[in-house]
Amino acid sequence: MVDQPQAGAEMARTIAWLMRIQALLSAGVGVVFAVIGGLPMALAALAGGGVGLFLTALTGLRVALAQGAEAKQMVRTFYRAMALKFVLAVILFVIVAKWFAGYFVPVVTGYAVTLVAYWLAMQKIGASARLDNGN
Amino acid sequence: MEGSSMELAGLIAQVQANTAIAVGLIFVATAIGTAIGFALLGGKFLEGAARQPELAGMLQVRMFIIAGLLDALSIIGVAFAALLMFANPLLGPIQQAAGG
Repeated sequence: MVDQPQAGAEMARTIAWLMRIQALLSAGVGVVFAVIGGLPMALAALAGGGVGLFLTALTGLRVALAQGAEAKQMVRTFYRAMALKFVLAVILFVIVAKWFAGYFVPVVTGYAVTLVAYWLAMQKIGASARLDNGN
Repeated sequence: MEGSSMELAGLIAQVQANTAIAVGLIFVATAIGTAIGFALLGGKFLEGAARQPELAGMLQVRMFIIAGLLDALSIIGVAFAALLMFANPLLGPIQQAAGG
């Protein structure tokens, strides 16, 4: 049985954890591209990672606002947050495509690497669920 | 001289037309994929929350994480579409050939 305050705390913890891991991964990719191609490539990779981080933070906060509401309201807020995420993704990537036109591979790599955090979060949740079940 | 510049303009127009089709296809594919994915996700969430309302908060956390993975490829597709629309790298060789 999971009560609402506990679920809210889990949501906040998950978002904070996701953002920490995404920031670490972005910084790592930035360092790798700095070594490979210098400062412009590193900045492009950081811009890609920054887009991923910003979108995660924004959608996480929007979704967390519906904590404790009824299921219908949760789904409505979730869909609105995702729509906002798409619109912002288009705007941000248009800006980034104009700024870093010659360095688009680092931008996409920086963004794609932040997605690894979601896989890690799934693994973390699965591991903690197994621990709770005593397996 | 005029003939070659017309030929060049035709070539650029051809690349731009094909790029526009590619961008359209990217948007269509990503829209269909994410729409189906999000519809299934939202439906299953409502189903789970209706069965066990006390688990709705926990399910919401999982839904948020799965959604992050679900729209990942479509956002990467959008990023490539933005690149093709605003800084098309496929026009580079033509412009290089024209300049050189």
